[in-house]
Amino acid sequence: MVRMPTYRAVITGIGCVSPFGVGGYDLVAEVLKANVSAIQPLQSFPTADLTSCLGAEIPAAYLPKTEEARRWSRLSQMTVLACRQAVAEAGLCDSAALGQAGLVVGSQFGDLRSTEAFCLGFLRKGPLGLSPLLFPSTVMNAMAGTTSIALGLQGPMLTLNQVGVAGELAVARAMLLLRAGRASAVIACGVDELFPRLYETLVQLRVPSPRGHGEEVCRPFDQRHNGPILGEGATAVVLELPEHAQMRGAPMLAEVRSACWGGIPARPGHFPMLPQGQHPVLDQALTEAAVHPADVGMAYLSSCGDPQHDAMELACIADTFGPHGPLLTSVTHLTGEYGGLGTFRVAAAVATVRQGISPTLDYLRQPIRTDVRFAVQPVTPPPAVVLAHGLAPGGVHTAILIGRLHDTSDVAQ
Amino acid sequence: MDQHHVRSDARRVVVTGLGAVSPYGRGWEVYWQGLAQGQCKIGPLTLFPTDGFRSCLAGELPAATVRALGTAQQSRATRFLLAAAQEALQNAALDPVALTTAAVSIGGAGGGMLGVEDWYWARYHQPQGSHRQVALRSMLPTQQTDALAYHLRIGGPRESPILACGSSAAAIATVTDLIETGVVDVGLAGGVDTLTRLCFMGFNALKLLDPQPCRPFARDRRGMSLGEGAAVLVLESSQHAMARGAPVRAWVGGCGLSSDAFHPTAPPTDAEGAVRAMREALARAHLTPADITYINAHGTGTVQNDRAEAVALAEVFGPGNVLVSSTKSLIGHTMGAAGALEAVATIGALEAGLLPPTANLWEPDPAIPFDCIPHTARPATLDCAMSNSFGFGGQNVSLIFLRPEAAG
Repeated sequence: MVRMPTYRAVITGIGCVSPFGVGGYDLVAEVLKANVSAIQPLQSFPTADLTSCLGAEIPAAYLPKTEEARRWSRLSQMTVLACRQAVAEAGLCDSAALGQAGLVVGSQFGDLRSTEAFCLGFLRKGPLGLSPLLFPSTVMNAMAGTTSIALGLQGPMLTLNQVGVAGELAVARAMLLLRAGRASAVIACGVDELFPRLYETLVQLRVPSPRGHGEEVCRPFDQRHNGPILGEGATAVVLELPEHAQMRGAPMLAEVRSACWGGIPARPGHFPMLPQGQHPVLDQALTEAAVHPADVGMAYLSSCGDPQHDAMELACIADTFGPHGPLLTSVTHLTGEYGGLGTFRVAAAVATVRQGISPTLDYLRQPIRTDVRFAVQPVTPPPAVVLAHGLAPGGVHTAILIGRLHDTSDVAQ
Repeated sequence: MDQHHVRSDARRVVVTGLGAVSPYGRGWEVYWQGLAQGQCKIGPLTLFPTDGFRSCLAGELPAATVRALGTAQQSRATRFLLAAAQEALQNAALDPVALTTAAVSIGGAGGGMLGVEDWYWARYHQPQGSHRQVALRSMLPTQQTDALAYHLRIGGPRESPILACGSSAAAIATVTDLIETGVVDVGLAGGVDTLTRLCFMGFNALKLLDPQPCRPFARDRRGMSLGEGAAVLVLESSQHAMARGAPVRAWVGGCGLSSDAFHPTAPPTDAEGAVRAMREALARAHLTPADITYINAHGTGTVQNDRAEAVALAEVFGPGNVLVSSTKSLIGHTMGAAGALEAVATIGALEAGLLPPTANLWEPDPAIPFDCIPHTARPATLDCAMSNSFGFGGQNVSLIFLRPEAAG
C-alpha cells in the first residue's frame, strides 16, 4: 500500500540575505556547492576587548539604500529584502494572490539594535530624548509589519520568538496556516542580526567559541567543538498549497512533506534530557510524510558547535534512524549561528533534493559519535527526501521533511 | 480561504479552564468580579520612576499579590504566567498526563524586559560595576513559555507569538488551529506582559498615554493607560472534553486573523483589515453579524484606534447593532496579555449574562455609534460574543466565543 502524506505544500520561491550576498535559490545552491565559510574577524564593530572576535556579517553594501528602506531598521531591511526576493522567485509579485498571502517571521532576538538606541535616548536626555520613530521597532513584530506594508501582504501575519530554531518554527507554523485554511500561500522567514551590545553580552556569557578553550572556531560534531560562531541573515521561503501553485503556473522547487514541532520540557536555556527512543516529533514527521526512516537521505541539523547541543541532537537522530540513517550535515560552519537560520537550512534541503548539492564537513576529524554518518563526501545520487532538523535550548524540537517533486504523483509537475 | 476550512464537530474547540492574574489580584474570579463591579484599577505606577512623562498611572498588580506568586528568582512575567496557567489547569480539572502531548502558545511583547532594564540601567550608570546578568535569562518572551512548559511538563507544540497587542489573541487562534486540524487534542493558550520602562517610554514618545485613567470611546479621550497581567485558557477538542466529562466554559466559535499592510502604528481610516478579521471569525464560526450581542473591543482609548474600530464595527454589524465595551478602561492595556485577559472577560460575560462596562466614559464620542456600556455592568441575554485585538504593525485578531448551551 502506498502511503500518502497527511498534508503537503510546495516551495515556490526562496529569498536569502546573507554574508554571501542577496539572491534566491541559485545563491543558496552556490553557497552549498562552494562550501566556503563566511566566518571572519568582525569588521563592523571593535572586538579587541572581547575573548571572541569572529562572526559572519552581512556587508552594508548588500542592504538596500532606497528612500523607502532608510525608514526601516537594519533587521527590517533584511527581512523585506529576503521576502521580496522569495516572492519574486515565486512569481507572486503584483498578483492578487500576494495580497492574500500570509507571513510568518521567526526571530530569536528581534531588533535589539533599535531597542538599545531607543533606551539610550532616554538615558542620555530623559523623556525628551525618546524617539517615536524608533519605538515601533522595539516590538518584535516590527519586521513582519514592515514587510507586510512593503509587499502589501494582508493575510494572517505572525512573528514567533524562539531561541535557536526560529526559522524552522516559522516554516512549521506557515504549514499550519495552510492546513487550517487561513491562506493559500505563506511566506516563512527566519531573521536575526549581529549587533555590538548583543555580541559583547553573549561573549561575556561565554556563549560563542572559544569559551576559554583553545582556538575560536565553529566545528559542529567534532570533539574539538567549543561553541558556535555568531552570524546573521534572513532567508524566506514561499510555501503554497500545490493546487494554488499549479493554478497560477508557479515554479515548484520542492515539496514540504511534513513539518512538525513539539517541545521536550527543559529548563529555560538548557537542553532537554532526551527520553531514549522517544522522539515523537521525528516520528510524527515521518508518519505524516509517509516516509520510511531509510528513505531520508540527508539531514541538516541545527547543531552549531555547542557541545551539549551537538550531543543531544545527534542522540536524537541516532535513536530515530540508527546507524544507517541519513548523512548528517550542518550549515553553521559556513553561515555562523543565529536563531532564524532554520529557513536557510530548509532552503538548503531544497537544493539537496533538487540537485544533490550539500555542504561537506571538511573540518571533521574526530567526530563525537561514530554510530552515525556525517557528510564528509558529496551526496550522490541526490536524496529524494531531506530532513531539516532543529533542537533548541528550552526543548523546542522541529522536524521538516523536504521531498523532491517528481516523487509525488499528485503534485503538479 | 474558507473552502479549506473543514472542521468536524469532534474537532470543535471548547474552553474548559480559565486562569488570570490582573491588577485586581490573583484568580480569574477576582478578575471577573472586578470587571463586573466596574472597579477601575488604574492608579499611580510604583515599579519605576515616571518623572517627566505625560502620565504617572498604570494598572499595576498589587505588591502583595506579586509577593505571593512564587519565587523571586523567576522574572515577574514568569511568575504571572505560572500562576495563571496553574489556575487554568485546576479549573479544567485536567490530568497532568494530558499535558505530555498538549500544545502551548503564550503571546507576549515585553517578556522579562523589566528585569533586563534594571540590569541595563545599572550598567549604563556604572559601567565598571559588577552587574548580575541573571535577568538576561528571561529577557525573551519565549523564555516565559519555556518556563511554563518546563514547570508543567508540556510536551506538545510550543510557540511564543508576538503580534504586539494582538499576541495572546493569536495564541488562542494558534491552539484552536492545532486542535481543529487534529494535531493535538489539548492546549494552553494565553499571554503575559508586565509593565516595562520600554513600553511606558514608547507610548509616551508617541504621545499616546492619557494623563488620567484612560477613557475609551469618550469624546475627550487622550490615549491609553498601560497595565499588566496574564491569562491562560485551557482549550480542548469537544470530543476530548466530553470523553473526560470536563466542565465546558465556552466554545471557541471562530478566529480571524488579518493584516492592514498600511502603517506601522496607525490603522487605516476605513479599518478594512479589522473588518476582514471580524468577518473571517464570523465565517469560521458559521455565524452572522446578528448572532453577536457583545463585543469586547480593543478599545485602547486613543483617538485613532477607537475611531477606526468603531468604523469597522459599523461596517460589519451596522451602527448601534451590538453592545460594546472596553475593559482596558478598568485595568489598562496589558499589551501582549490583553487578548487573553479580554477573552476571559468575554467568556465571563457569556457565563454571567452580564456585560462589563467601560469606565470613565462620561461623555461618549458622538462619532462612535454604539452603546459602549458606560460605568456599570449591564445584564444581557447573550449566546455569542466577540473579542477584538489589534496591534502595531497592522495586526488584527478577532475571536468569537459561544455559550455552551448555544453551541448546539
